[in-house]
Amino acid sequence: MEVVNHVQYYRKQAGLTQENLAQLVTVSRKTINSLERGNYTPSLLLALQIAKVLHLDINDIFSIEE
Amino acid sequence: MKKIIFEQLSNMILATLLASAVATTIAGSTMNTNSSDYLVEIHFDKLWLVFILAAFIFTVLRYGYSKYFGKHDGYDTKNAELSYQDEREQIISQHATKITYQFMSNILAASLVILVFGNALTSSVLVLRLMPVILIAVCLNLMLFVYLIAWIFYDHKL
Repeated sequence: MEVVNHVQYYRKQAGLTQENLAQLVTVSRKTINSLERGNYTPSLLLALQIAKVLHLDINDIFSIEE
Repeated sequence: MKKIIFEQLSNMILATLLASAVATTIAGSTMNTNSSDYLVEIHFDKLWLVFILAAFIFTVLRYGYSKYFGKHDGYDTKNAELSYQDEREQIISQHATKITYQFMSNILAASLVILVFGNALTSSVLVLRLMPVILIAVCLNLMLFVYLIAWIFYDHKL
């Protein structure tokens, strides 16, 4: 099972740069970049923070792929 | 990543200087237990002064780094090389620590074997006296280097 995310898509829709999103959820830009490339699976806390900042449900951004 | 490179390089320089200072003290000190007067002479070389000076400089640099540059990349003097900016870096730090621990178990076991067979490797009394210091210094520097390399590796991987 793998966690897939649509952070890049929704971030761009919200008109945010990686740096902007990183500042809003208090992580480094590299973490957002790594997350978008699928190299890093965020904690539940970070996933919820991203969803909150993007005004979306967590299930819209993150899903499990079997 | 800069904070880890800065921290580990300064640690490696200090560890090498400390080991060198200890080695010169061991090499220069004498102990005479043959006569009725028990005589011990402990020699402190200039290297000790260099080490103390370097330790002071690096302490100042660490505080400077944490105050001016480290604010942005999560560096703090208390956690030093275990500092992290966010959860991803915390995981990187944990992975690097695990790799270092596994490496150290092997290298320390190898050092013990070298110490045990040290008598067979050399007949020089001075080398035998210095061997533990050299081995500890090598282990310490390798440990710091492995942590640095592991951190950089996982920073690129994650």
